[in-house]
Amino acid sequence: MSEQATPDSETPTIELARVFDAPLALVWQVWTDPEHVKHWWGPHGFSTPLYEADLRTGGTMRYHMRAPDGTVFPSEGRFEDVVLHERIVVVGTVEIAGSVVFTARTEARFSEANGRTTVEIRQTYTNVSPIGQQAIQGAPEGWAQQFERFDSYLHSQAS
Amino acid sequence: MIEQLSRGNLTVTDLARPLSITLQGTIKHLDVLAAAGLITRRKSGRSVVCSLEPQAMVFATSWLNERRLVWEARLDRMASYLDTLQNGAAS
Repeated sequence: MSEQATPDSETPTIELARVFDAPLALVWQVWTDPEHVKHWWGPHGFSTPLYEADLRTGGTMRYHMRAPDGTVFPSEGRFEDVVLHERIVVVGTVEIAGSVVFTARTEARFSEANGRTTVEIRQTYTNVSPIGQQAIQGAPEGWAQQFERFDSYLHSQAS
Repeated sequence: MIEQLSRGNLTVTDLARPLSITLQGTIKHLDVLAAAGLITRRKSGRSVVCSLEPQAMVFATSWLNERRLVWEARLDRMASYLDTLQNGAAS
């Protein structure tokens, strides 16, 4: 980690929440224990051959996701904050083809009500590299086309 | 408008000139772009200069949606896995 991600109001962010029909202690275990994480972290067809996490504030983590074609996507990060059964904040990088393509700060909040557990995720992205933008979008089309499409869309919103 | 800005920073008047919309219309359009975080505006003397936020543009397209789908799918898998664990059928 060479750069600290410092989100502000303009940082690209996604937020989502999910209610699991399971007690908080189990959800927390499945979320944090590498043996459990391997069962759900990667997309279908992907495996997670490596997942290590020193789950404490200041601790580090790293994992590898392996695509069906054998390509490995490494990721590493540091726990910014860990509060047992409440909150995990991790700031990490994702690599594609040996280059860091973006930094993500992921905050997960856990709460339980009536035996069901809510997990709220807020993820912000910084330091997105041009390589990452290309790789992620997989879009051969030029910027101009993209601008044009987006411009028309926004124009329709403004009028 | 965004395409114009992709070639360099421009004032509101410069942006309005080649378009078939009024200055007011241009300002309204720029308000939307600024609210979406796609451009920034700053005062320079008596003009307002607009610049593109290229990083925001990338995210504003499909990327963030993809990230959200990745997480939704991940949480789906986690829910199934939790079901498996709780039904005692864990491998």
